[in-house]
Amino acid sequence: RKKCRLFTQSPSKEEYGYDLFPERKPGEHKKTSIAESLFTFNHKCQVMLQFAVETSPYAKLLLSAMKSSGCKVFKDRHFSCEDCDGTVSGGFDAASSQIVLCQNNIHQQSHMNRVVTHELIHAFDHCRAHVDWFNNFRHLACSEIRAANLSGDCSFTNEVARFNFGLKRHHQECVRGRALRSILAVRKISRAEAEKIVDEVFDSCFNDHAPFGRIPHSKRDAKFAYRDYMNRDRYYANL
Amino acid sequence: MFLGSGTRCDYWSEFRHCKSLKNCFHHYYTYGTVPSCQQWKEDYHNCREWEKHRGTEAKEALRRSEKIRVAEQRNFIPVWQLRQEPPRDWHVPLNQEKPQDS
Repeated sequence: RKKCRLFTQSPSKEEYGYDLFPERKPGEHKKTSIAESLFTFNHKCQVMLQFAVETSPYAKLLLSAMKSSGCKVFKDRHFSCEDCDGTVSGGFDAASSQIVLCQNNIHQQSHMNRVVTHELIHAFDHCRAHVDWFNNFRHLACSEIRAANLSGDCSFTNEVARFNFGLKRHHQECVRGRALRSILAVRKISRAEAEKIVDEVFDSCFNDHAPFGRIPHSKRDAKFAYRDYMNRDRYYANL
Repeated sequence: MFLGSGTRCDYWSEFRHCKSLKNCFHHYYTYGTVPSCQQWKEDYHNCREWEKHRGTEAKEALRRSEKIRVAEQRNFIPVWQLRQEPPRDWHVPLNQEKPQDS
């Protein structure tokens, strides 16, 4: 399943992936009726999202980190459950500061947890750095590398489920591959160019584990990371 | 990490986590090598030493170890420039943004 689309305002919306999100018309924000809300994918999406932000240690850490960085996340403002084309699961819209969740393509809680984590990493990068989503492919690649690396996208079990069997250093191969595919899906550049860009930024971005402090391979790792994050002020003071 | 944080030398839980089969597997899956966990063990002993006797040597050893850990986390050249302030439009309500060209 394709994970993520980073899109932007553009005179030609198809160029930047907006065509995958047909409900996302620039300048318009659709309101759902109560009937639509209760008995549809939209309701299921909202429920799963609520569960994810309350129980996933990955999501909780990212939400705390964003709050500390001045970007407190409000569910109603910064998340949007929408129908999407194809098999895309979600995206981050820097233009409206919103995370899009594809309600017609996310049907399991574990998947929702992963998509929320993945997109929150993009949102976190947007919040803490001057990321030029529109024009700088290196920035785009970097955020995709980080999101694939830190969200659990490339865990052993997820890779096996995709029939990608690999062991030694396979995590890095997976991260590289997913970052590459994400870039190619939203920008019109050649594969060779995209590979070159990913190679250029890989070492730096693969080693940037903010705000986790480590690559969380499991919920347990994420809980350790969350504990460390919450203790960080005392930690740095003691150092 | 835990100096005076009131969590009482939790380095041991980190050491056990580091040496666990699952973590070794994940490390191999990510880096192609088995993790080195010795530092956590040393930090635990230094922490216990400091707790018992409040020795400055143990404390300094711990501090050094933690500083190295922090430095390792920052051991890369960032691709982007970090912000001094959050993005201005993060909290701007929807429907009040300017319509975009399409």
